[in-house]
Amino acid sequence: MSTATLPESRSLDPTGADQWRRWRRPLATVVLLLLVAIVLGIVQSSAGRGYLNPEGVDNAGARALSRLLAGQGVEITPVRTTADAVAAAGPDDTVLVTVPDLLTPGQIDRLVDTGARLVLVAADVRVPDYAPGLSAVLVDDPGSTEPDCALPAAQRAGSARLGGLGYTGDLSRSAGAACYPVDGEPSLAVTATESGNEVVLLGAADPLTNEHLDDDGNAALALGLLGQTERLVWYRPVPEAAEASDGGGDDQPGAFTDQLPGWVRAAVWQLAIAVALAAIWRARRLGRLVTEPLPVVVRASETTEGRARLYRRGRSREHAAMLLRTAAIRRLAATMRLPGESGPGAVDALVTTLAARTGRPAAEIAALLTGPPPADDTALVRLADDIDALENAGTGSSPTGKDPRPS
Amino acid sequence: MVITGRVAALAAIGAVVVAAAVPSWAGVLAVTAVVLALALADVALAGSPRALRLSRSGDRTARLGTSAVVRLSVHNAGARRVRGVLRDAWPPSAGAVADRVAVDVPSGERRLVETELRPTRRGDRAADRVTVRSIGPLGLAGRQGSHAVPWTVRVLPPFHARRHLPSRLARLRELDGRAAVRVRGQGTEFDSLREYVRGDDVRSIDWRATARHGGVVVRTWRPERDRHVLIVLDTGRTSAGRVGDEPRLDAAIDTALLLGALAARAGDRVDLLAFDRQVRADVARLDATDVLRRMVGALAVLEPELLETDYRQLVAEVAARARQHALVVIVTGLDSSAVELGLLPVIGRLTTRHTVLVASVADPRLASLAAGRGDSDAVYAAAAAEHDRLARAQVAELLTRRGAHVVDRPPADLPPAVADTYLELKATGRL
Repeated sequence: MSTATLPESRSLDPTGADQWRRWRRPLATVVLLLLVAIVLGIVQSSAGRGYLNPEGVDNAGARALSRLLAGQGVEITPVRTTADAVAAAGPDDTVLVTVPDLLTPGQIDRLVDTGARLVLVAADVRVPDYAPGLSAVLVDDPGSTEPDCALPAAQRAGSARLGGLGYTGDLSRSAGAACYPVDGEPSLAVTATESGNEVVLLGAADPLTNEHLDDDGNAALALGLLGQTERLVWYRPVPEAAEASDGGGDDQPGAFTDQLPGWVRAAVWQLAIAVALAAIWRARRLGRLVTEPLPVVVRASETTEGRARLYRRGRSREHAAMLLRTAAIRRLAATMRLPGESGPGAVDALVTTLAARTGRPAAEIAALLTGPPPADDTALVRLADDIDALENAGTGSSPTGKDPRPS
Repeated sequence: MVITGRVAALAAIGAVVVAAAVPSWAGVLAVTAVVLALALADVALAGSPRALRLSRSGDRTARLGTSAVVRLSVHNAGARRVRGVLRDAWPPSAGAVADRVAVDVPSGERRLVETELRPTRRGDRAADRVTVRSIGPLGLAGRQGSHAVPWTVRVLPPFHARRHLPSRLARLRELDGRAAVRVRGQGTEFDSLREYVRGDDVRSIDWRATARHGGVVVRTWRPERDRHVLIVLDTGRTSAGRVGDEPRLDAAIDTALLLGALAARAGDRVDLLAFDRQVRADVARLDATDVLRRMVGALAVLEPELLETDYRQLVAEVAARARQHALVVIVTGLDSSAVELGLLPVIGRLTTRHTVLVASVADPRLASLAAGRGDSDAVYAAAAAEHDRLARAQVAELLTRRGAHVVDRPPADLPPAVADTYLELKATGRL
């Protein structure tokens, strides 16, 4: 046990320069990715997409129409919520509702109460809520339809791309026009709400979209319907749940968090920070893990056990019996000082000696040591036991513990 | 930089403050800012682990099964007190009893940290890093840093067979003529003449000297000395197999140690060689005085290699070391295929010039498998075990037929059996 000292230790902590050298590449990569993301975002945001989006440039968008309307001097106010729509719309304005079926009866009431003129695109199940006494029916979609009515806007436009939904029922209120009939039902209906403001029901969105605006008289019809007032509120509703938090009517229960007092939210955030700090505290390791190469662990008897499994799977009883017999003959010959294993004569001599010593018939012993292979596994197990018994009788000791070692 | 649980606790208390006094985002921000500021102040006040100067002293070696103590001197060369935790990291098999210690070193002072090792495996064990976490006076946060303080402890083989040594040495003395019983035999050489005392063998009377001297004079004899014993350890793939709880190589090392100690004590020249495809250990001309120390040192770092041993090259290495007649002891495993293809074809070249002893580590599990009876699984396993035993016996027979002595025993019995064979060969003058 010698004792010695080595020169001083070496600190492994990285200095500031080391840290900078290590992190500058990842840092540069992250900055580059952020820049690319920002640039892409700016490029993307200028070109909107989406169904009847006034800034939408794809087929279902309506940027062409909104540009046309703006050129006519119509002031367009895009809104997404009922509250904004109600705030923006007055009795002299037109409100375009792109998905009227998305609104709840409560929202519809608030919208109707503004007194504004409503243009509904492809309204279906909610039609009675806007215009009582009217309902929608599915009709054919012929592509191009003739106006066939006295409405000035329809007269000017001529044929247009309408169809899909028709409106049936009492159209007698207010001006009450029924144009572009398909299968006998008008796909453009002008009626009024209970409070008397005008409601225009448009059976299909096609006349307003970028894709079909320049077909037939679509553009003229759209301009005629939407350009009647100076201000147009372009309302693209969002689903009810997303709008719930802006404190809707009685039929819109607020989210769970709205019911909690204000201090709970702040306390929960502060607790989350505490949990994050605890995680950092527990995560930091006191020095690195130490690894070491481990020795190979292979049992020396592995091959023997593998061979046993092979015998078992192959049901090689003949081979197993032969091995057990050979080993027994070897051991018996060694204890009786006979020349073992070589030639049938040697086995015969062994059988004779054993018969003399144990008093058992020679034929029985010969059958045991040189007989046919066992027919099944039970016979093999019995053969092994019989050989053991014979060895015990022949040597007067435990057989399998003995080992014919040559040294 | 590190933080402690107190920072998290402080932030949790802050939640109460936020809820009671300032339930808003501003409140959350303010409380968190205060907590972080306190933590940063603590970091600034903590002593720097980088300023520590560490050095080691203590044990360089340990016998497997005993423990070693390595001391670490911690000198604080920085301006501030270093208070916190120190971890002296060692590999798992070095068996560090407690590798985390609380330390408190004021500026300019020195502290001693002791690490007790209880190794679980043979070989060299190198210390990993020393990591110090220094916590500031508030106990909120601190700094952490690591140092490389190299140190290696060599774990020596346990030499379990040591208990067989005294009895074998006693038998050696019986052979040697120093004890009362004298054996005159083939393996002896003339030592000296002395006067006859009662009990001496009358056949040992030297008549010519008796005539010259007047009294009855007898010749005394002693066993041959200064013979060459070359122990060869096979570190190839057969030495990697586990017998019981340890690889074959460990049993082979025990065998080599016992035989080496005995032969060196008997006055023979002992050389040691470990070989698979290249020389792994080579110790020549071992003295009786430091035979164990040198052998143990060379054998401690020996590991089984997963290679097929090149016996042809091995025979060449033996021939280069033993120019005259020698006892060559090859410690290996008698795996039939490896030996049949490798050792058998070349063993003849060794046996013509030398006395060759092949010592093999047998697997007791073979015997227990061969005794399996009762159901078909056990009987198939017994047949497989008999197959391997027959093959081993056959290989041993072939080796014997070519003039080698074969000792095939389980790990615990092998060292004394080889020692006995050596003594027998010595007594009969076949060294």
